[in-house]
Amino acid sequence: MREIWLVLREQIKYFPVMLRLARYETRAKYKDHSLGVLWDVINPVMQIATYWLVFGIGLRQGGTTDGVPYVGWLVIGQATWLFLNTSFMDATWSIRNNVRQVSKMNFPISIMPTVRTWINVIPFAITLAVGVLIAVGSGVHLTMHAFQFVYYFLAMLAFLHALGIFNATITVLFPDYQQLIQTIMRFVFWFSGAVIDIAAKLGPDHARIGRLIELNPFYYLISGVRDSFLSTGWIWDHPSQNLAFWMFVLVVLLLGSHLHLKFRAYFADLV
Amino acid sequence: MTEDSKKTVYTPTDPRGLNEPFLPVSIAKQIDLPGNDNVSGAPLKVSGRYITKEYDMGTSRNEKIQAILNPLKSKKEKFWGLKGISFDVFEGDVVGVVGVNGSGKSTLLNILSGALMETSGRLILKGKTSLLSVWDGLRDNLTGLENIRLKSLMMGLSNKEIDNQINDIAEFSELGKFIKQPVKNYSSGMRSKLGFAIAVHQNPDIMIIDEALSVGDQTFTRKALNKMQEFKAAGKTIFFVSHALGQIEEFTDKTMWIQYGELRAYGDTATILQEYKDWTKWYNQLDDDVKKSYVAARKQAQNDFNRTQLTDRIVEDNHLSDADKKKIARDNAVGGRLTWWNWLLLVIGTGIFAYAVYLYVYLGR
Repeated sequence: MREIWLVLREQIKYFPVMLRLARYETRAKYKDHSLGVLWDVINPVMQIATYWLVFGIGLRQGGTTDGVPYVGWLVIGQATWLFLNTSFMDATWSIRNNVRQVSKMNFPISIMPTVRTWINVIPFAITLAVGVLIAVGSGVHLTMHAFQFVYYFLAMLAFLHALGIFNATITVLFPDYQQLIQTIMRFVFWFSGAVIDIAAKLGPDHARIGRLIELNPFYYLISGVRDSFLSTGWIWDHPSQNLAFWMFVLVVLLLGSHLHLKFRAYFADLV
Repeated sequence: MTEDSKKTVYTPTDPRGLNEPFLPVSIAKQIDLPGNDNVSGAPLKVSGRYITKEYDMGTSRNEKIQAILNPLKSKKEKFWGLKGISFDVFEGDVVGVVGVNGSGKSTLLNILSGALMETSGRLILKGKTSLLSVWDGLRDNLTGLENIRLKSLMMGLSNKEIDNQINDIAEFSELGKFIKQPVKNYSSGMRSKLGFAIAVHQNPDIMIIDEALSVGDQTFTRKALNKMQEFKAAGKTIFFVSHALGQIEEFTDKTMWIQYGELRAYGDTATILQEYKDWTKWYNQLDDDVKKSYVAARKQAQNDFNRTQLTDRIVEDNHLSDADKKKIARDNAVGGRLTWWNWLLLVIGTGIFAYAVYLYVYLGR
């Protein structure tokens, strides 16, 4: 438990540094582009539009999912998925790519994975806002459910922090791990419920397999955000899913913090 | 040097075979060297005891990780970059570090700055350290100004603080219009000017300068040295590595001479530099094959060094208590192991997770 707190304390202490770095990295990334930071929004919006064309119009011809218009269901899920996926993957290489640069200054390298999350927060906010607007435009009413988003956003931060510190540390030790994660994430995309409702596709005959897939944390977070804005459910409707998610985060957080503290003095030796 | 001994072929089995004019002091006696005297009574800033750095010559990552976890079990070839170095440095000391290439100077500075972890030994640092090295920490695709901002941000400065001093830094770097050009277009001299300008404006307590000044031109070197004098006057502690003996002579009070992982001498700059120059002169007049075997023997000794040798020497030290000796001879632990209650937590967490999975998947709750 002490490990978790030690890493968390650095996140709190260097929170302002983290935000400033995130802002600066975003500016630096697009400094040669005339549209600049706009690309952070254009890209995901175009991607969502593509999926909408393919799945919404091409394959399904509109219709509803979970009793809500598919287009709203899709864009909100996609916005969340893109945020989670980008932050998750960026965090994985964040320490490895920066060790050389920061190892010679007393820099708390444990904030590197979280910096990647904060870089993606603004694009997420914009794509999500677009998603909610589209959903409302297609006939969805926002209700008190929307306040649940605060909980799910905190859950996303916790998840990304735990997995970020774990993945980033393992990637320094074994670079192959990053490739492995990349491959796994291609599968997870289809299981995350970002574009298709897996359980519904499998049908009641395979309900258990469907529910097993629904237990992955990406699904939990994405469907949670949907529940918030499409008013399709409350947090306490699925207690065992909550429990599984938080236990998963706790176990990964403990392991990740422990490994990070154990090996961080040797990062420069290993890169 | 007689004609006779010059012809002697140097063999690894006889490491003292040549009439080498200066021999390294026994590592247990290092702390008796004159450099450790605290004449002015200033507070202690840096204290190293038997600092070692073992490099693993294993090639695969698994071997390296194994070596970190189980240094004693790993059978791979070792190389001891530092074989146990002890020294004290006080507030306001400006310490020059000299030695031939590959002698361990950079390893020592990296350990002092926290970039590398020492294998064993005790290092006490009082204050914020900042390492200045020409090639590190600048991002090629960003401009000079952007690099100043990024580095300052990483050092924890707020945007307002950075705005206040960014012009000073830019001006100090003397880069003129180039400050708005990407760093990839810079010459090595320009890079070192920028790096130096950023580093001196971070106001560290302990400053470590790794050959950064030897790249700049004479006028900048002068300016940099003046800045260092300011730091010196303000009571900062400075480590200064350079092959430019002139700069060391002018600027430092004390000098450490490190060679093949050992501290050969530590004392006032004039004396040590003379010894170092004499040694260089002696070395340069050796025949090429003698030089080669001399160096080979020293490198071999760095390969062959081991923990038993280290412990044997620490035992001879009469400055340390027995408890300290034991502590210092031990390898620095690679973080802690997971404690039993953390294991318990992991097991319980996994258990609850499995139960929740069962509840949801099988019972659909």
